[in-house]
Amino acid sequence: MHRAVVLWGCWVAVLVAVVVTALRVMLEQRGRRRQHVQRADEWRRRRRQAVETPDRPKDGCSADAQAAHETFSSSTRPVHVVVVLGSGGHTTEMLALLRGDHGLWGLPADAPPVDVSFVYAATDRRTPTWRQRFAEALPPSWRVLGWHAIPRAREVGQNWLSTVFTSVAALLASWRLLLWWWWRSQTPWLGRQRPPACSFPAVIICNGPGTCIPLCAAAWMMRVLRRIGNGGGALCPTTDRPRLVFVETVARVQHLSVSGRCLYGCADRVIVQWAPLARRYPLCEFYGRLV
Amino acid sequence: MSEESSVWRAPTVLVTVGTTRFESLIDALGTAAVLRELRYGWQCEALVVQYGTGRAPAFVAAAKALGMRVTAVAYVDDLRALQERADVIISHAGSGSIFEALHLHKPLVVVVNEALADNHQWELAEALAEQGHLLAARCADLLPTLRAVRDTHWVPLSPPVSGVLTEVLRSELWDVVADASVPPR
Repeated sequence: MHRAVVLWGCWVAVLVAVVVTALRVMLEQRGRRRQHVQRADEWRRRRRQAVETPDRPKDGCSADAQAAHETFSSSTRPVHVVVVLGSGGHTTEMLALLRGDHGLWGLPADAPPVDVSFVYAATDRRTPTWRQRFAEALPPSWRVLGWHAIPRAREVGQNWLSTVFTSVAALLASWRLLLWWWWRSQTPWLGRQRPPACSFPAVIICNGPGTCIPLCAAAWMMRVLRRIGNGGGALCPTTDRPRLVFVETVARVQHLSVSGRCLYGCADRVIVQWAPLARRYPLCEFYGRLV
Repeated sequence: MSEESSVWRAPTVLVTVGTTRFESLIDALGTAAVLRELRYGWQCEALVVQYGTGRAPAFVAAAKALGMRVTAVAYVDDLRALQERADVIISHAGSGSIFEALHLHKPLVVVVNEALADNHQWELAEALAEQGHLLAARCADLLPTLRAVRDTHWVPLSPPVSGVLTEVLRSELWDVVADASVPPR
């Protein structure tokens, strides 16, 4: 008799747990659906507003996209993608790369909004004049967050001793930029609880200008520090940010560029565009020519 | 067509050196033999020279004496319009102008700048020349290369692989993207 009570008790407990869990899941789903409905309403309202009062589109993205961005970013943290433009040919190639992917349309429709920051070399005068072209190459739902210039680690033909100092300066500027993004990604302490201005960069895309070396080095060091701060352990998908994606320029056929060799060890993805390179370096992905 | 070589002519030729200087190409172009080849071999009537930050071409008068109209510009922001009008493009070995010309399916002669310290440009030009997309030359052998242009069989460039960057971003952002439907706390 005693045993029977314990057995029945177990069965009832399991049943209660199942029912309670099912109820909680249903409640969660209802809440989530309600939120989606609210978001859709909000989005329609904002779009109507945007159509009635056409504001100047921000950096080339449409009013529609702006409304969508404002609505969804208040509830979902936008993903922050950093694109490193170099000088001269690297900028042209990155533009072709972004355009060639049909403006990155392939990301799922329910993906969170994407913020893009562009980083370029401070001495480069041509890249800032191409803002409009880059804004047009991105899908309309992507918002351009900002353009940041960082000093070059090495000018063409600069001697190696002074390169040490300029490299340190470039590294400090990169740290400053990353810390600025981190600061902006925190919820403001004072005042109303409002969403942070941007999220911490999730991915850094670069295609091999010298400017990308200090930025990627700073980002990688920050990753290591955060890993230690989290107590070590395995690669954690949400905290190991930013990921470094390196696309080698199409101009390199036999050997990696200097920045490629620097980032070969620490980047998350290295993509090359020529078969000889892929044969020589085993950790490079090769899909074919991308531009 | 069997008469293709006799019919072949290039009334408009574009020479471009990119954003920096490449004076040895401009000098090589200005030699009498090259100008004569352009005028009588290619039957060139208009020569557009984009010479960058170097000194302006000095062969304008000589070309005019041969009956060629020379337009010299230091730098154009949109090279594409010029490239579309040209029948043959003579270019420096920068990847940007090479691929822009090849995407337009124009006959392309690439001249490699040997004065550059890190001469990886030769790699790209050679790799593309091996596949028959273009002719690669040094300044010293510009003339024989120009003579070979008429009889060259040009292989059109295949379109680039697209969607790779999207796929990479998707796989790098998967957890963020998967989180999209979860309401914020």
